[in-house]
Amino acid sequence: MLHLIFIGIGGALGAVSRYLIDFFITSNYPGELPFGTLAVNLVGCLIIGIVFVIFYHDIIHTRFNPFIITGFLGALTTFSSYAYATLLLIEKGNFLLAGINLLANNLFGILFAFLGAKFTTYIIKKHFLHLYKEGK
Amino acid sequence: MILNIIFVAIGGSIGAICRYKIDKEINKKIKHHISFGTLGVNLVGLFIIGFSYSMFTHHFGSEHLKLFLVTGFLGALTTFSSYALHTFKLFEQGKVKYAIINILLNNFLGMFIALLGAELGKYI
Repeated sequence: MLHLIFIGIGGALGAVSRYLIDFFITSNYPGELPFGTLAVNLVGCLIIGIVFVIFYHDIIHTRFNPFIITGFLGALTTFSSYAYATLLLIEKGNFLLAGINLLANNLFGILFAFLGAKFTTYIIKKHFLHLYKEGK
Repeated sequence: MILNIIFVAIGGSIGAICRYKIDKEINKKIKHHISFGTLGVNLVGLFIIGFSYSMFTHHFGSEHLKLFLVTGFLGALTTFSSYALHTFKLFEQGKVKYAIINILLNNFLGMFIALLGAELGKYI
């Protein structure tokens, strides 16, 4: 039951952060391409890569997993707004922007998760070797 | 602004808890390299977002309802970070085929299902 409360609090914080970041970016960079959604997704992907490795090496206790990964990062990033915005671009016949939005979210999202994980593994190995666990 | 944030927060917490529950149930039933739990919540969320935007356009919709349902609930129900992490792990494990299937299912099946939701919303 407690983990549901942590997921709920993390989810509320993640969703509100997304709303505020998206609001700030969309008002500064208005346009057809949803940069706000792209930004929260890329930030979230970078952090999940970092946090996943930190959890793997038991640097943070796994009891924080529901709050950080399931709650906060899950709600900070979003698939529905991204995919729906892409669909609207396709419906408008704006295939170029739809393709750019699709590639930017997927390619950079997966790349950012990869970079976050590799960078964190490197830092742990270099500076915190006593915490390092083989196999990753 | 404060009221907007409260609507997003309530929707977000409900969405995150629903994602956890649905993801857990699906992953219990379908054990596969591809995370069908994450795919499942994304598809459900996309159907609802298509349907609800259609309802907002053709029937009704207040700003606060949109913030609660779309920004809060659906934004938190669906997720990009877990999807990207799973896909990266599949690539890293050399399961390139599954990684690509995962990308295609989430993106193209997702958009197709959002379209179905939108069409259904038009007919109601």
